[in-house]
Amino acid sequence: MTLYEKTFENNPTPYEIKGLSKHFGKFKALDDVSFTLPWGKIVGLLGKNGAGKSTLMRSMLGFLRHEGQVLLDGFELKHRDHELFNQVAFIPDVNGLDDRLTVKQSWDYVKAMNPHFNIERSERLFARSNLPLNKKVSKLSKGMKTKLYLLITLSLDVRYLILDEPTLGLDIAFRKEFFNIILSEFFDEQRTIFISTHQVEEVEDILQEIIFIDNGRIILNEDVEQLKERLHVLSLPADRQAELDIYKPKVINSALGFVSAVVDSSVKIEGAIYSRPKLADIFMEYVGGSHETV
Amino acid sequence: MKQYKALIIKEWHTHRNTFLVPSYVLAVFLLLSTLVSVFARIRYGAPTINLNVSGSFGAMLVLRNLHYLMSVVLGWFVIVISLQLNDNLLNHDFQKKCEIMHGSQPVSMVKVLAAKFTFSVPMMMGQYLILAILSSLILSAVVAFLGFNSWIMGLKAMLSPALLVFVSMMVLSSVMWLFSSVFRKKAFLNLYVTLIVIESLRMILIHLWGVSNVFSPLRYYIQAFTMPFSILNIQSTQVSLVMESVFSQQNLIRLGVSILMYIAGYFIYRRRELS
Repeated sequence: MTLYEKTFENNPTPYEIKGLSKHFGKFKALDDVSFTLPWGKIVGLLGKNGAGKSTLMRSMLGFLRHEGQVLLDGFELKHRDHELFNQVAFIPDVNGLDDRLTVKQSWDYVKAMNPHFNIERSERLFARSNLPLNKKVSKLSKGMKTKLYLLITLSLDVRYLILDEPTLGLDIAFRKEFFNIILSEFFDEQRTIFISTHQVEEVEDILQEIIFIDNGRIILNEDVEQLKERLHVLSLPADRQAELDIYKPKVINSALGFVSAVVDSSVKIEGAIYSRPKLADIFMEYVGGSHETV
Repeated sequence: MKQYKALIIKEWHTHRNTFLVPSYVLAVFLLLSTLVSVFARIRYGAPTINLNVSGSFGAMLVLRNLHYLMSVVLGWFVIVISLQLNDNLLNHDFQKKCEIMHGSQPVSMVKVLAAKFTFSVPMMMGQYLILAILSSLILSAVVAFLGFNSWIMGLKAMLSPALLVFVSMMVLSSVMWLFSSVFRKKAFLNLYVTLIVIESLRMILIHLWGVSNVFSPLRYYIQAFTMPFSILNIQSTQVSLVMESVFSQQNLIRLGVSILMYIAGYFIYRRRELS
């Protein structure tokens, strides 16, 4: 039992980020970021390109030196603290597997390196997959590589799974399979998934909490259901846009003779149509800019 | 221990081709030598080699030096590969973009770097010993075919520079280790550029300002490289003289400095950011 596990037995506290800042030269990539990853939740991280998502995740994992505190089970994590990986597994945005190894060698490597490797679960996952064990990782397709990384990661008995754009560049069938495997094999009330993705529509239904990040700052951190209760999409005929402008929404969408915007759910206008907002719409309302960046 | 073993196995899977270059080259050399010998035998008949240089003692001296030189050349080759291996071991994970995968394992940096050190220095030393013994046996077999019994003498001569090869490997590898931990790319080039720049500055100091006794890293490096050659004139039977030369005060200082370089390399490597 590691020091972290012993502490968790006595005094369980979640993964906490306090006042995290990160500079790359003069550029401030993260600015006083604070939040807590609770247990048993799927938390999404949304931000435009360059907003600081990957920097935040890498800083949380101790890969980058930073100012502020990262606490896991009450312990402050230092730069390159290997003990963290007794509790946390990570899949990066670029396929980071070792191309020089075969599938079997990669599997054996992590099995021997990680004391939390669940052999029984792993064998079951690999048996169900069609991964060619003796093939070099470099010879696998992008989808196969991601699947291998996922299966190896899901073989670990850890409490936090951190995913940084894990399905970037993969086809829709594989993306669906990816999230299905995660939900069925990893997620329970004791485990937390923290995920950043551009395909927000695909994870919208599974996310329980959402964090918006922009220019290195957290601009929203809220329960998804509460957020969708708190806001709604209000649509009016295009000739009544002035009535919508009063509430100064950052983004007004026009389509089929109607204008619509995300506003507070207390806002009521006679003759308007109300609907439940999508996360992408809420994100645009908070951050502004083009839809393509979500 | 399980993690350490897994790390060594991973290094073997990912760097075995570089690691085995000395064995490959020796195998090719032996194969070519055999082919040339067979061809010469068929074309020109049995060889008539006269090893009687100033009597049989002279012949033995020639054979002894031949074994010794072969061992030193083999040692140098193994050292050069070991230097390249240092760079590959510390930087290929970064260059192959799999640093995060390896950095996401719950294993201490001490174990990670200990496995890399074991693979690049002690295991290379082991390979050198095996190749040196094998070369000696093959050379002795060839010489026996010509009528000389040099088995024991050959082995002793082949192994006498071994400890100096080891010291040389430790000293040179530690410099490369330090540079590889500082530079993620082109560590080899940066090492030699640094040595040349420092040497140029040193020469300027000496010639313009008449400063003397300025430490020369380039000379330190070259001396470490030529170290295995320094006991050529000491007979293999004079074990105490060999040991005296290996464990001289100067070599002990060099080994001390190399340990400091390994430790400095550890701290620099540990401070690296992964992105």
